[in-house]
Amino acid sequence: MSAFNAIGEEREIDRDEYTPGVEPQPTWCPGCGDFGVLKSLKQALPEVGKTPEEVLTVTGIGCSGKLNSYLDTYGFHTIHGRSLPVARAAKLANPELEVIAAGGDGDGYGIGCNHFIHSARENHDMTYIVFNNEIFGLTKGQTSPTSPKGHKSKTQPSGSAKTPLRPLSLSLNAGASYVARTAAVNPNQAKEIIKEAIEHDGFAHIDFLTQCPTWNKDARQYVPYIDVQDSDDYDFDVSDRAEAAEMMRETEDVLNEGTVLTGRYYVEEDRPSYGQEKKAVGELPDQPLAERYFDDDAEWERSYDLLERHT
Amino acid sequence: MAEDLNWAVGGEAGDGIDSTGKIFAQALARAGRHVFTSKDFASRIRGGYTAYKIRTAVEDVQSVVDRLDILVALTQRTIDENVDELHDGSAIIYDGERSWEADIPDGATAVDVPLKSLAEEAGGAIMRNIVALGAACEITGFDVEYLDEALEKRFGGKGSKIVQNNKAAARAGQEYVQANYDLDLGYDLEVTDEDYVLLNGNEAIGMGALAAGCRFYAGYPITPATSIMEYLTGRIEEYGGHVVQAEDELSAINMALGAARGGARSMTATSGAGVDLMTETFGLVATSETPLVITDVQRSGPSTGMPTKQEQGDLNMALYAGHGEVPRFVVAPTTITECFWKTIKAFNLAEKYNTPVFLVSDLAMSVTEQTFPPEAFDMDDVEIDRGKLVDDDGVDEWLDSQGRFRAHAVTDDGVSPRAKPGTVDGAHMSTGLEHDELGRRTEAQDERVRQVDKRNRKVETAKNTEEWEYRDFGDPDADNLVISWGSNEGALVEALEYLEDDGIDVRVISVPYIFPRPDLTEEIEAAEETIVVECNATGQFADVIEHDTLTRVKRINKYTGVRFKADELAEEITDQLSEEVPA
Repeated sequence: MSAFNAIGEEREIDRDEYTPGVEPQPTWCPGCGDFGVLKSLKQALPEVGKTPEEVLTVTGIGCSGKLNSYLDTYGFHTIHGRSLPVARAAKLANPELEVIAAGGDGDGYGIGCNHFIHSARENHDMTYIVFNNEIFGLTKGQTSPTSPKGHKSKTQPSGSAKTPLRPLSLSLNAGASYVARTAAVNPNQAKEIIKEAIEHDGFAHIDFLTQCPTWNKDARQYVPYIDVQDSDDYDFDVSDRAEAAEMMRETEDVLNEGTVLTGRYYVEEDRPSYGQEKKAVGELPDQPLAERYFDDDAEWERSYDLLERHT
Repeated sequence: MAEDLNWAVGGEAGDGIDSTGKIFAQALARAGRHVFTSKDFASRIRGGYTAYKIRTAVEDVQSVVDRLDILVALTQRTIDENVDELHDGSAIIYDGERSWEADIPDGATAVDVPLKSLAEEAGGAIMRNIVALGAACEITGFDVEYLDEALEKRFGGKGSKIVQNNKAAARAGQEYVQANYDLDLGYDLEVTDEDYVLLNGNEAIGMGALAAGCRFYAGYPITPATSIMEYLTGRIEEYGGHVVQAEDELSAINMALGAARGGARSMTATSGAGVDLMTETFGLVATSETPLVITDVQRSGPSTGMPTKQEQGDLNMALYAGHGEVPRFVVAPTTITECFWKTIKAFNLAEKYNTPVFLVSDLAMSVTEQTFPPEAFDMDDVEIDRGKLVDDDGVDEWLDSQGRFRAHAVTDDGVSPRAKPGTVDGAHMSTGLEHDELGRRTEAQDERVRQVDKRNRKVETAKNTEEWEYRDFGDPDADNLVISWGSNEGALVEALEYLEDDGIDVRVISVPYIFPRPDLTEEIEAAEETIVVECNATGQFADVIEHDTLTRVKRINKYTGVRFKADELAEEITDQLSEEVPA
């Protein structure tokens, strides 16, 4: 029997199963975009056939870090910027686990940006949701890596001199094999994108626009939004890297002018994930790393073989 | 004193010094001789010089000494660097056909062997060091055939032709000396029927990790810890494990943490500068009650310091790293065999108490190769205790009245259960925030106190139920007590012999547990004089001992970047014993 008896369990899953007895009442501000992520995630997970016990959600620090407090899965709340290395190693330890990492724009594009780049480059098989509200919310309104140039805050009273980070372009260039942007104000699209991201074999990055009604006083509600797949104004091939790059750049440019473009930007289906690459060369066993601990038939390998190379 | 021979090969970095030395060390081990090796890196003059030194005897050897008997010198600088250690009976093997004029110190015997020419005759100039090994065999009365197995091991993968050429090269060197020199320096290496294993401290840690069931390792290259990662890579897979080279130390420790959350025994290793970065995650490991082994192979600091030099300067960091009050264990093996056993202990402590464990080694131990009887690593003695890790059968007893898993259950011994993701009914939250039994964030005063007490109680439980023994050498009733931690043990044990010759009785206590640690109050009270020996400038362990026992101690500190030698320690201890006790 598998040590992970919840894995692969086939049964009807009610979305209420994801609402914990734990901390059922989110403490996010009224109107916060984070509710939209939680809601679409709760919808998406049962639809892809995952029970709460098959899922590990790993969060960073920020308002977004509370996500797994309100979602009944295996949850691990890490420290600022470090959700990705924790998440991808948990996936390596047990590849059948559904691993979702989440954090804010400060968490993922600022303090944890190096991990973002390398997780994308290595194409770990997981989903990464960035709650992008273009502001530091939990610490009450400081400029973030995605705040628009000129944006005024208590820490940048004369307006930010910095050009905002381009999350989609960065993700593509770093090597993510699935890149999308959605918005909390568009929960149906968000749910579909989350489902695709979960089912994608590789690093799936969702830049999730989550309005902050409290600290982003410019009241960016990310409406009206345009789905680039639905609109006749945009025509590009999500499997074409160059076209995707161009579309991403335009999307990032116009966001600061008030046009909210969303949708799938890049999908690379056949690129092997880190785990698949490592398995192919024999460096990662098929069996979960923790599996043998519970296999009564597996003897601990403690023979003198270990000493052989030292003679 | 052991009837020892001190041998070295030295030249420029890139001359194959390490592999040449290791071949000779392996040959000696195969001939049933004990070996203790050390490495010299560029230091006194400008960069480039490197040497591999071997001390060998039929009896156990645990230290280096200031004497060199046979020196294979590929450069003049090799001679200059070691001139103080050469003596009237020393032989220097060098190649007189090379461009440099060997300046041989008075008294030492020059053995001019055309290393390059003979190597070319045997099949290639690249084998000149092997010719020198053959020459060394002749001078020391060591049968050149003992080199064969080591050569097969080193070159077997390159084909039998290469192996044959190397064997021929060794014999060419041996025969040249036999034909051209009539030497009688009195060296005659005795062989025995013993068959020893040869390994260094980092290999012992890697082997200990495998034996302990470690199945995930994440690291970032750093001297002198990298060889642990290199040891595990390519081997851990055979046991169903995986090694990751992460993008930085922050990622390395977080990946190790993630795999531990996933249920695998997990480790990272680094050196002090890497621990600086990892400290960020250290508190999360402890607060989320995740078992994790963090190895620190200490090197000279602070900052970049002297990356290839010995120091034991991280003791305070291991004890106190992290903001807030972080429960932990700190284990510091004192020998290479102990590197193996204490690694296993570290994994068991981590999982029995869901607590991070610092495994603290040092550079000297990491690069020293030493021989041991295979029984020193008896795998039948390895015990694995995964603590309160529950599977689906075990989950039930840890559910609350509403069926929720109590991942941070408050228990008498302070230890809570662990359920790994993928276990039915075990879903729960864990966080670096203060939390209640269910892992829910809380700032409620009573919950805070309950959880802090619970975590600290784990350490108390461990203190009271685990063995935290020290290692005892010399005369237990001696008036003079010397206390040490880390890799100084070998040199101290040998120093006892020098001291005994001078009529000085000493007891040596070598402490492998820094936290919790043995209480030495009675031992110090029973002694008239206590000296604490360590490789740092400020006496970090001495401070701890004074704090524990409320007694002033004398200190021997070395922070030149070079490990203690037995004869040097004997002198220092003798000097210290005549000094006044500090006020």
